[in-house]
Amino acid sequence: MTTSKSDSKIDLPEAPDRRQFIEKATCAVAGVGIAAVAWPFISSMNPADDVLSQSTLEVDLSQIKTGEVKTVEWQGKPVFIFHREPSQISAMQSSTGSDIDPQPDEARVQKPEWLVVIGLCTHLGCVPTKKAEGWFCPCHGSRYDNSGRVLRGPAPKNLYLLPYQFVSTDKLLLGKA
Amino acid sequence: MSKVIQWIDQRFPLSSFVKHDLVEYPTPRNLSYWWNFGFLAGFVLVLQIITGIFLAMHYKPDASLAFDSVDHIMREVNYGWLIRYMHAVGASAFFAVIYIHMARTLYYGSYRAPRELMWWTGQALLLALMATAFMGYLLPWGQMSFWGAQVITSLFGATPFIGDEIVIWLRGDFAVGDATLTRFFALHYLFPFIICAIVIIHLIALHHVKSSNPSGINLTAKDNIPFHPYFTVKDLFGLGVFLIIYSYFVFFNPEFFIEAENNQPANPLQTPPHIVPEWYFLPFYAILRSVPDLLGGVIAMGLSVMIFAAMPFLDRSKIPGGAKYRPIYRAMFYIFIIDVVVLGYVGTQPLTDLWVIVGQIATVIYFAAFALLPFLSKYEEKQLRKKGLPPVVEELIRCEEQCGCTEPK
Amino acid sequence: MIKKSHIRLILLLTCCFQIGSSWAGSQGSVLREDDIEHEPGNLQNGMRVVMNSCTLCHDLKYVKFRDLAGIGLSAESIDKVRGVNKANDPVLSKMNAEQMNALFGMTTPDLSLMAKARSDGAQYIYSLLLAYHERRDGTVINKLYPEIKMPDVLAYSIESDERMRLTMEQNARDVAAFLAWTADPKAEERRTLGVYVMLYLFVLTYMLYLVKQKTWLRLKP
Repeated sequence: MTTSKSDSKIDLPEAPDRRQFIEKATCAVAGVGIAAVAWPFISSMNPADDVLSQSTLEVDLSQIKTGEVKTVEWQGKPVFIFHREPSQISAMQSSTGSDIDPQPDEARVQKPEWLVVIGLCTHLGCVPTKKAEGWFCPCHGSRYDNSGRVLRGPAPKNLYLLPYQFVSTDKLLLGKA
Repeated sequence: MSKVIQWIDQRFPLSSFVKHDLVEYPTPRNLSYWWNFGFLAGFVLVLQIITGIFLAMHYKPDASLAFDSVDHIMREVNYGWLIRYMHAVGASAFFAVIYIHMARTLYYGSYRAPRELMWWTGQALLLALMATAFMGYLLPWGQMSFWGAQVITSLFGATPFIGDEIVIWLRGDFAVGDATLTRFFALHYLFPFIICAIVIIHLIALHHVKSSNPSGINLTAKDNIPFHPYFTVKDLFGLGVFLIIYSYFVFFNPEFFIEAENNQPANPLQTPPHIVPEWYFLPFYAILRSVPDLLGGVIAMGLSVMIFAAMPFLDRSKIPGGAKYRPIYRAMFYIFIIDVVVLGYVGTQPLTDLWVIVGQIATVIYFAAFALLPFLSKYEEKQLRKKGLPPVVEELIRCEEQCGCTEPK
Repeated sequence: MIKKSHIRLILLLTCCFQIGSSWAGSQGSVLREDDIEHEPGNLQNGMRVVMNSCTLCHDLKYVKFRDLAGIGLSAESIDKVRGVNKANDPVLSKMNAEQMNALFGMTTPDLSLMAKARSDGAQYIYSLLLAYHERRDGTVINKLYPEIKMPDVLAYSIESDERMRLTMEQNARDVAAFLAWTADPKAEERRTLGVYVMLYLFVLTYMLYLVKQKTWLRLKP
């Protein structure tokens, strides 16, 4: 605590207790309180309970024919659910993508005939379009194969995976492993 | 750190401002706890702005969504219930603090020269606060929100010739509706920042004329002490006491200030049995209802809020500062306070014969206090001079007459 | 001379008048005064009665089935209660608006906030459910709210068996307790946090008082 010049006319000299324990302790206690009050406000900006409850999504697989891709929205993002043909599966299993982000196909699927990936280009987030060999991003020309692995940039990574589980042979639950 | 401050000081009067206006700022050493309430008002203003902005992140100002969005805040948003209750209790806390602050100013005569501009900026702040609170109350879109807004906006229909057009223009529709809600939200968000601007003017005026004090007379320089640390620690202690009372309501009785009726969504086809404004509007509401004529009632209500501004002119006594040396003024003050409380109670009651009479008597007393003040203050001064004034008072009156103003040294 | 404490008292009394005036509308002796328990057992029983009876006609649209975890239901129990509804679905009535209008001439009020929408809260709901009375001419009237369109759902007015009446009274209390929870699910969290906040503030304010005293002692008299 500083004392200003005018103090000397009206103040007694500063207390011999140079440590000023009570002042420092009060500041500390007040500081804890201010931090504690800030927390609810910061927390209120996190997703609310009803948003969090929407964090999983059930998908019915029975209507997706082989060779077809279904796009669903999960946590505000598109998810590609690709029912792969046997020829596509073996082609993907025989390579690890490209040098940009090599990864075996087996590491990207739970069942080989179902590829489930986030449908956003890993470059800047555009939604790629489906082609015969995989996906093509119209924004800057990135290309992905039928396992969602990046073949040509500027995308730096393969299409992102997400947690999911099979609740039955033709029902997926996105968002929970 | 001090290097950074030095760099700033060469470009901006930061240290000199802090030193002159926050640390060394001379304050009368005899200020009582009644002087804490200005600081408390500033604190509650900041509290309301912060809680309000965080509520606005989730609230939807649309008639079909508003009530649901408030429920969403209460149930789903993390700590939404806490922020909502802080804001609701905060509104009542704001008025409690302001009314006590005004009472202090009236009792101690702090509205007198040279502090008239402080009183008038204060008057502007009161009006802005009332408008903000009124508009904010519509936002939850409950039954009381809707019907309170419906009744009060209809009052503007009393305006001669263009009354009906004004009401429709205010509402943006033929009745209070979505259009009204959206614009009230926009203005409710805006007004607190206008209040901040007027508060700054209020404080600049304060730092020019300095605080009044409980003795009622201007002290000399040797009776002043630096604001920091003496009044910073005193204000913080007062804040602690305030927060205890405030937190009791937020955590243990938050619905005390929320009308039960407002937990029902607005129904334009069904009026609640008793329409009651929030407690801080009750005395003015009672005055409104006391006059049988619509335009007369509106004028009386408006006058009851605005008449405070006339105080520097109505008080014609040269006896300095407030009630301390003035027994008649003191009695009038207490009668006025009791009368306002009575009016407040009248505002909650249905308009049976008894309450109409009580309300009308209380309204007459309210205005009589102001109307009689010029005569009673002069009469009181004559009587006091006959009896002989205390020497301090004589000295100050002499000084005022010589220099023409009461600029503290 | 009137002191600070007197003025505080006047302000406090003003607040009391406010509460008092809203009580002025209550129905005196028809309002039952027995205590309503809010234990998990009461809330769960009340929930069952509400789901089985009240939701025939009433919505509780602000309550989602997943919220029932708040009164201690497990995920499996919630699955049983919600039936074909999803966990995120609101609890709605089995009737739609046309059916409500056909039966009662109005849409039934939503019950989610009913305990807060009436000034006597849960006590009012409890009393209302049991305020039905069979008149000598055979018609049934609700003594607490005569204009009510809701029939005597508990059949309390025509029940003479004492044990059955006691069960109905307990159910009515549990329904009131459950509706108090739906109106204010955060009440317990709020009060617990409040205790900590008040303790903290008392400690901090006392410390601020000590700092104030110590600072002001430095002033020369």
